[in-house]
Amino acid sequence: MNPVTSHFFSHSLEFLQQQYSSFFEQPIIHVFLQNPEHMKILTETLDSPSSHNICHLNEAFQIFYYRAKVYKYMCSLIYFFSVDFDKRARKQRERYRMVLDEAPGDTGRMIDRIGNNDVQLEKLGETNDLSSHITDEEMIKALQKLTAKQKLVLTMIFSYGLSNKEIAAYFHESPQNISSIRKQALKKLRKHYTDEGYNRKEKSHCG
Amino acid sequence: MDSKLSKEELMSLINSLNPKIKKSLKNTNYQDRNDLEQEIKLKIIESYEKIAAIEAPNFEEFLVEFLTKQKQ
Repeated sequence: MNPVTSHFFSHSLEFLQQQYSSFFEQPIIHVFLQNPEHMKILTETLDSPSSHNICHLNEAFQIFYYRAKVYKYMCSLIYFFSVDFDKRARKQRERYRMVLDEAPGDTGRMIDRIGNNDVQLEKLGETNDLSSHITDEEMIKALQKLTAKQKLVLTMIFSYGLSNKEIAAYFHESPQNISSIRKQALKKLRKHYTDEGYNRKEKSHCG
Repeated sequence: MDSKLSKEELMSLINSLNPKIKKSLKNTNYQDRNDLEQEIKLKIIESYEKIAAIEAPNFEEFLVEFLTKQKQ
């Protein structure tokens, strides 16, 4: 056995926590010992530092550390992959502006939509495209509460996938203004739902 | 000792990371979000070998490493 570690294991926990305070402050050790089971293993090992106990501690720690590393790895993977994916998707969109011959899985109406796109853009408000996509009754009610402009902006964002900049150019306004209109509209929708939820609860209490 | 991740554990780990994945979807367009979600999960499963090859020190190794670093 390593002399350094055998020296470490020959002390009591309290002494170690004082002497090696920076070691116990290491995030991985700190979190490791928050688990009472791990703490028990450590105290047992310190009580009787037999090779069996030390082995047990080593194993428990290694598994724990491995999990932590995997977790970290996956978190960074998810983050960086999503950023990368968006970059690639954007590039793709720049290069191939319209893909007419391929239908997007569930709707399969890419061609119809694009065919009408230019004409509809002029009279987006009349076609009221957003509520025609929605089946939820509450949502339709909520949409009716919005102003015409809010509805139009939401339709452009969600049905046509236009960016704030493009919409701003359409209205001859600033992108910041479009962003705030969109925010307010979504807030209104959300508020409709929370109010509605509250009303329903109240009703059920009375009934 | 078998500290390696089994495939079942990997799947449960992916499920537990679902909120993180959902959050990362905000990095892309509405239209691409379902694609991205699928791609992320695929990517994680593809990198199973890499994940399994990650090595972690045991307690003693970690302790020795820490103490020698501190001495420097």
